Amino acid sequence: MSTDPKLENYLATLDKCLSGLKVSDRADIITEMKSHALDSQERHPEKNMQSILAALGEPESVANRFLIERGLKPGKPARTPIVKWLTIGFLGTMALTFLFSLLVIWKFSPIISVNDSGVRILGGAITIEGAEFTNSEGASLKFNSSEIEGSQDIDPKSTKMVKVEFNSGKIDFGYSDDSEMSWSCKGQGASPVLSAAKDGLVVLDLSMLAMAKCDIELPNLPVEIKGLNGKIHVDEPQNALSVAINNGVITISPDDELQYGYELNVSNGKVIGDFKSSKGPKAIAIKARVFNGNIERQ
Amino acid sequence: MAGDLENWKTQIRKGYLELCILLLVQKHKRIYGLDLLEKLSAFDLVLKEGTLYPLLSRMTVDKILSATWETENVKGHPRKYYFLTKDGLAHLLTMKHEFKTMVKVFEQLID
Repeated sequence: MSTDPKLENYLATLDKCLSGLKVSDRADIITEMKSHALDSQERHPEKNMQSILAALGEPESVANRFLIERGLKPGKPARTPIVKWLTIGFLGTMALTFLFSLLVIWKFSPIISVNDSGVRILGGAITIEGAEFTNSEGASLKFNSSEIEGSQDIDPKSTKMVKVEFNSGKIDFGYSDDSEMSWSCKGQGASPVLSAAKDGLVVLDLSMLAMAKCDIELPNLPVEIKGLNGKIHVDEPQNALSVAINNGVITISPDDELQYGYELNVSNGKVIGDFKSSKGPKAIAIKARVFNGNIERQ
Repeated sequence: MAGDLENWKTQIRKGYLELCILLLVQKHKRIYGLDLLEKLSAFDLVLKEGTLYPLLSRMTVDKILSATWETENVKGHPRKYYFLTKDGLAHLLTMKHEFKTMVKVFEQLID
């Protein structure tokens, strides 16, 4: 006589959940449950096997009752396969994301670094060398850079401040002995524009010049330098100075005969070298700010 | 509060049902699970199959009950018949005595 497969399944699960008991006890329970199910079906032919087994309860919980009644620890509720696979999938995704993040951080760090030969962005994915673009595959794009020179005498009486603005490049600043301001640039784009703004402000705008590589002589006046990316060097500042760039390096070579009051600010990076700040009345105020990069003493 | 009442019912029924089961076994001399369930429900003592069999199993382990497998006819399947052991009978007598005392106290208290 063949038994209902539903009943067989039920008994198989029950048997598995009773594994804490002796084999003979287990066999006794299974036989009794089978006998009960068959008896019930005989007595109530209108009921199907599914409803008879439903009345008996889930095989796991019935097995637990048998175990609890005997003072044994009930088994853990069986994990359904879907939960198992979801867990594996979730953990796997987490692990892959983590590894991928590590790879990205490793491959593309540092975000930006600047040395004498140029600027490296995203660990070398983009390299700017003067007026040369190179990517990590070695392909390079060279600009036909033109040399642009200019100079102008700045009236120290009517001028309160000199402002230099640029987008990207490597710019060396020095100070002239007189009131002349001069510049010598290599780069691609429009020539620098020197203009006198209101309130005694003179502005040298290099922002139209891409990858500017300049040497600039400043007059002995307060100077403000503002740029986005690159390397700024200021040699022996003679007057109040304010330098700010987003990404790159600012290097300052102080004049040994002068006293300075430094205000240095780096968001992601370091201040390298010993900047001796003086609070004396003769101290020249030097303000420098870099978001990503360094401020160094040379 | 309804939950608390259900819990109280479960607690008080547990011992009471055990007593009733043993009384029915004693009355019928020998009885099998499904038959016992139907006798119980005839007295409005509703018990789930999944609760009765583990209870019978435990009372067998405790040697209050004993069981034999019997097949009534050639076509039929074997049934497990339960009967009281000597120890079980003594156990039941004590239970009956205890319960009578409890009922007596209860009746005095509700009067």
